[in-house]
Amino acid sequence: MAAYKKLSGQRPHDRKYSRLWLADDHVLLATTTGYTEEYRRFYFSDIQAIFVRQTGEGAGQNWTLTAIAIVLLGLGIFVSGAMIICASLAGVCLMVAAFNAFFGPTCIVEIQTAVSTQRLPPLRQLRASNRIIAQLVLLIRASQGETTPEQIVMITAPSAHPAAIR
Amino acid sequence: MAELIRCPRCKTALSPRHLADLEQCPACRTKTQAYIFPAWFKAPAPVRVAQHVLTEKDSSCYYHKSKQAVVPCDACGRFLCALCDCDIQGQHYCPGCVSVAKDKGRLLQFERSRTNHDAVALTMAVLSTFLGPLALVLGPAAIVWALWFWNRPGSLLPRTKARSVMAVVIGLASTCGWGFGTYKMFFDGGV
Repeated sequence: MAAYKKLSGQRPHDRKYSRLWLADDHVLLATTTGYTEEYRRFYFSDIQAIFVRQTGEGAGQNWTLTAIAIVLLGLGIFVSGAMIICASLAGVCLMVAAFNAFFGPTCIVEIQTAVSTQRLPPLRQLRASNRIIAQLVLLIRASQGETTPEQIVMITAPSAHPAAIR
Repeated sequence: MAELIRCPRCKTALSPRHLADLEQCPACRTKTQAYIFPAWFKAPAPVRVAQHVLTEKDSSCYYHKSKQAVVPCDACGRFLCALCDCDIQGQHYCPGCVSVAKDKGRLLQFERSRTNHDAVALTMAVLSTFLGPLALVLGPAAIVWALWFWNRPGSLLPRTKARSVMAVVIGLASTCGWGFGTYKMFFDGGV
């Protein structure tokens, strides 16, 4: 049996929980409902690309939480006797927002193979994702080797090359 | 010719800058970074065609008598033609062995899901503690479930037997407790 090591934290999505696990030759995306587990394996030799896309999800959540906190504080000021409850709830909202802000911006990470592109829900915070991807990149390069500059020129937009611009 | 790398959101072709750092996509302005590996440039595997047996000395495939054998199955040793050769991480198997291995769970690569029976047993045990006389059914069921699946392969991931042990302990306590309570209530004139 392949020995798996934890690669990421467990993250909820679509009423399920996902976590990434690392084996010798592949990375495993395990999604659980608590009673059943589903597995998707991505072999290092099959991975074509990893895409990271920064999203405004975390910032949006922070703005919403801050707005709720302001509304609650306003309610506390204008409704007599509700100050303590409203201030406590506002404090909780602000604490969650601060906690969220501490972990930095959010992102979406997708892994592409010859047959599929799969989103990795456990990778949601950009900073943590970069750390994990750096680890994966090393393993994938150890398995596949490096891409050459000529190959990079082949797959990037022609207008972006200095020679083409001139 | 390899495909261009494109923004996963708007499918606009990306520049080499996107391979080095998180940069804005020229079209949708989403900050994107791509890590590209040599597999991107690999041409798709050619469609395999099984050759006909040409001479009497040629070995034929176990499944297709008229096709030339190219490799033996690593599990059963049967000769296989290019069509019947299932290449699994460098090992060659015949369709029959693959099917058997999949059914019996011998090839972990094929396992796409598993049931956590320990979690099922624990849920039944916990429910039995506050479902009153139903505990007399659920409690023993939790114990039986935990013991029945004790040695069955559970999760592929590291996991202890703690849930199964807890299910047995809670199931026992709940069954005894509710059993005693029910006995007292109905047969012994109340608690």
